[in-house]
Amino acid sequence: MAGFGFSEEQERLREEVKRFAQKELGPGALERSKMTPEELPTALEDIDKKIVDLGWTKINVPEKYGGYEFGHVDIGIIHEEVHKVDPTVEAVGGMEATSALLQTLDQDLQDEWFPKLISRERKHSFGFTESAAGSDAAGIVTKAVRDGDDYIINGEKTPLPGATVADAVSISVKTDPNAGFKGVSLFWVPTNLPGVDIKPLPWMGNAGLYPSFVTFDDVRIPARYREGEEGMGFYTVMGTLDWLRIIVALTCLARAQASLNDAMEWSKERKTFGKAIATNQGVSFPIAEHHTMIEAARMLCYRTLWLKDQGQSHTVESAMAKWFSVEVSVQAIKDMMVIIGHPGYSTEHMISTRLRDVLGYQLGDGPPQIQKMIIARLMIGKAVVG
Amino acid sequence: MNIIVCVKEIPDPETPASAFAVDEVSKKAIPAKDNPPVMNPFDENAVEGALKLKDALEAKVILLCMGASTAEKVLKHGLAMGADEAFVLTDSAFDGSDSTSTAYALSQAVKQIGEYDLILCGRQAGDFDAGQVGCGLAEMLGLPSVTPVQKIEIEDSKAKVERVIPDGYETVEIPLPAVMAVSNEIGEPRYATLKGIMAAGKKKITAWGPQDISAEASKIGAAGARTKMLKLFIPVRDAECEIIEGENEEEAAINLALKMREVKLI
Repeated sequence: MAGFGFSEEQERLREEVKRFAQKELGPGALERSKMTPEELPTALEDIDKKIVDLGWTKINVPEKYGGYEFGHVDIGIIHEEVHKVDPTVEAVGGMEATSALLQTLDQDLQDEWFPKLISRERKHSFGFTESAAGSDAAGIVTKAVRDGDDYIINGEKTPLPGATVADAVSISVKTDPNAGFKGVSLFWVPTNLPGVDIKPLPWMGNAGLYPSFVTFDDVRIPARYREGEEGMGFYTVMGTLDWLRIIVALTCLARAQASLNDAMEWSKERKTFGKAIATNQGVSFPIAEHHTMIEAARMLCYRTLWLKDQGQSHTVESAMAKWFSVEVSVQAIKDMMVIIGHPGYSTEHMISTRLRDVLGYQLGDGPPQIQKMIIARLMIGKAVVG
Repeated sequence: MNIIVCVKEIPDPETPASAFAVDEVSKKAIPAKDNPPVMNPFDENAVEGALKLKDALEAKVILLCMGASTAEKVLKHGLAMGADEAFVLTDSAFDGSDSTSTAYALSQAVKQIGEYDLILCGRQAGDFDAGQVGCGLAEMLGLPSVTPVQKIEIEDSKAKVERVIPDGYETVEIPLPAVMAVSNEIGEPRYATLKGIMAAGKKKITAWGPQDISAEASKIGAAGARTKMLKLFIPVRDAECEIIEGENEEEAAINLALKMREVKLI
């Protein structure tokens, strides 16, 4: 992002991604959005191969494995254009976060995992949430107890997106239950280890996230699978979520923009009492209002990604972008569904899928209340707000 | 080997009919706000054909385009796909070109580029569908040509080419250098990889005017055109539906036949 807008290169990236999304992801997107988490992986195999060929899985992974540096504004552009067309496909995903965590492990483990993750022969996911501890990342009860050269992990993670298709999950555990957030550590846990049990969760949307419930029952794992130092996991989790929240926000806005586009076309074609419904201000004004809100939220998201690319603090901006964008998206999609009417309420229209998806994103990566708490603490002061 | 691919920017064929407009005075299509001009799809196939050759043997792919200032975006797309360098002929003197004056300008540019072994272009452009430039270019350069082409194999200083015919294809051999007009059967154009997109930003596009290619003023643009566009307009299509009725199916059929005769459909 150069100045107040996108650079020529970024506009070109947007055009190229849009071209790919419309031609390759558009056909079949509605059908995939209705698939179960069990059906979806097979349907996405060819698309995954194409995404690998485009080099999207090499973003911000070590050069040794063919990776290259890529800005977060650019990553946002890819996600936005892909999710306008297809809400279920994983575009770039959390590869950067995966890469950062994998690089904390021994070289032989990196050599084993990086090539297969890049080719999508293997998948990796993150689990920091538990039944009794979501946004309170330090309140987890899953624990890892040292036993010689190993740790023994017991507990559960839910929802753990992606676990049903993941070959490894990075999870947060307590290695020192009495040390609060300083007792949180992270582990790279291969999902084929004895004691790991994964069950899909029946969510109403976001099939592409593969929501799962995962239990760890006396899972013995070598200490070298610990990501970083003991007790440093909380900081890593917080740092990782900061910018992934913005990607979540942008994917919601992409769904909202696509719904707005659908509603605009519909309002020009659909006639009542002899004229297009767009001639009614009751129809055209909500479109104008939501267009304004979506654009405002997009700017907030991209400015936050730009701040990250500049190496500047963006915690407040990230929290603002998350709650505001998702809220804007929910309201926009809901209102656009009303404009389209019953065809929009049908499962044969993508708009119903989009609405279910964004409702879920209100909860994922911290609900609005948590985002507002983060903002209030940083703006007013934690000592006052609590 | 050096492969020159001639590409043209055209109005985006995906432009919704409701957003498509023409300026009847200047006789030009007006690009829709959300649908900027794109590379002619058959020319994208030609770029793909060139890149396939580049994949198989050592080759340099050079793009050549005659167009407006927006042509640079189209060329950047080709560079992002994997082409190595690009030239654009852009000057108001080229305005109003038809197939003949386009072929002339391109032939002059090809001479200016100098070293080449193969010239590819799309079998026809998606805007006016004339399909004349490839053959014209070959004629002006004194080169053999094949059109439309679905597969190219290079062997020493000649090419084995599959040429599309109505019921299949025929294989022909042609000495190089040559001009070939490529058809969509050559394969879907590849998508630009992230590395390709990043690399395209650093690749230079050289802009040339008539003097740079030693073009005669009387042979370029409207001055060199052999055809004259009389009118450019969007045809108005009125669709009216009339239900032909009758007491029973037989009578309805008779009434339908009578009506069709009345409006001279039968």
